[in-house]
Amino acid sequence: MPKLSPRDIRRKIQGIKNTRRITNAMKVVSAAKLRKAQEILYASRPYSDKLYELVKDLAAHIDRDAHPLFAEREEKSVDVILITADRGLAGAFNSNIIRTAENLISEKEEQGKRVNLLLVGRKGFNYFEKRGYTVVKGYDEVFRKEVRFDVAREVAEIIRERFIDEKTDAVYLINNEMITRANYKPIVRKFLPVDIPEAEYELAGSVYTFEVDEETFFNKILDLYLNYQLYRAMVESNAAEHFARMVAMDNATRNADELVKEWTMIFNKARQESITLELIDIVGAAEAMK
Amino acid sequence: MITVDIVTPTGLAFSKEVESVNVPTAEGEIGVLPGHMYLMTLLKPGLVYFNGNEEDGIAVTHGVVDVTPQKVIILSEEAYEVGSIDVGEAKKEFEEAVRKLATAHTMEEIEQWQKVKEKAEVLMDLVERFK
Repeated sequence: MPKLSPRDIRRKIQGIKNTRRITNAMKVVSAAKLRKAQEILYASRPYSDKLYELVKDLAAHIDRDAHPLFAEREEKSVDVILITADRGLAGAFNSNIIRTAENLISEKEEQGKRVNLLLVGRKGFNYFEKRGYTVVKGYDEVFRKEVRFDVAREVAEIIRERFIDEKTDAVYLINNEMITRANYKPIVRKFLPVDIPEAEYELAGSVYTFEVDEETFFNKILDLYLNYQLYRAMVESNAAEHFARMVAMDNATRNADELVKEWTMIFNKARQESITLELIDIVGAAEAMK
Repeated sequence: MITVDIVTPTGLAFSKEVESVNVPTAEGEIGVLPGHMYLMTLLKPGLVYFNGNEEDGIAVTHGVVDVTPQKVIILSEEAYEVGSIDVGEAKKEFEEAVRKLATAHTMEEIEQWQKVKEKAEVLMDLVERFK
């Protein structure tokens, strides 16, 4: 490293301090956004839990083979829905999940299956679009203000149609999910065919009555279920994103603190050095005058 | 006693054990007592009320109802206590729906706005009724 003058060093310290100010501000903003995202997340859980309960009740009473969304086919063509963030600066948030997706894709391709992608969030879209993957559709600016339910609905609709038209035989959903309040990780789930465990309890002789036409009703519930599952995945991802960014910015702020300390030390040393040199000069000169 | 849960996408709106519950459905209104037969149907905008007491109801919009002998699950797009309905908002939605219906072209659009209109109307009626 070339030798820096004390003034250069001071400038450098100032630069680091400025960066620190920015990362610190971003941390605070992310913390606020995280709180809001978590509120939405926790508020959405009862609905999806009850919806799941309802679909389970329903699935116990119908003939699964009769419904196209339950159809188990041999996987020849596979769709992957990947949910990433729109923005970076969130540590390994995007790169981890993109790697998870790539692993799944190459695994499926090795088995000779075609893989098509549906990308929600700009980061994933930018990444896969450039690399010659088949992208059915990509969405940008999904997480701008609030998680957009209309995007979830649209994606679910595309997927449903593709599945029923047999353009795809299985659909996987990959998103980051909050495991605990302070931990997230990428999760891969089978989205279609609808995967609901057989009812655990015996509903001996109990048959559901439907006031409305059974098939329309069932379609409606399944649509709602899929839309909401996707929405929930997006909400989870959104909370995890803010969490990841908050942690990343916290680390960056701490690193900046350390750097400031380190460079202040170097600065002090350099200053001391120049003082010592001057002293030696003066003393030397005084000695010579004798 | 029978457990009633009313949930909306924005959270749990109501959860309690009650003696009986009345629910507005696509075919009319159903009264549910403990031990009711299994029933699933579509929810219609209206008032869900408990123990035969209309005063203390919850206004619901479109959704689904799942009735089993032990529980009633109501999934609604929105749910409010009657006292906390925003009339101004409902009125705005109603007017928008009427406007959109006048220019709607596809069946889907008409269906969608018809739903909004119906919902807003019911909410406004409820406020009027319990004023």
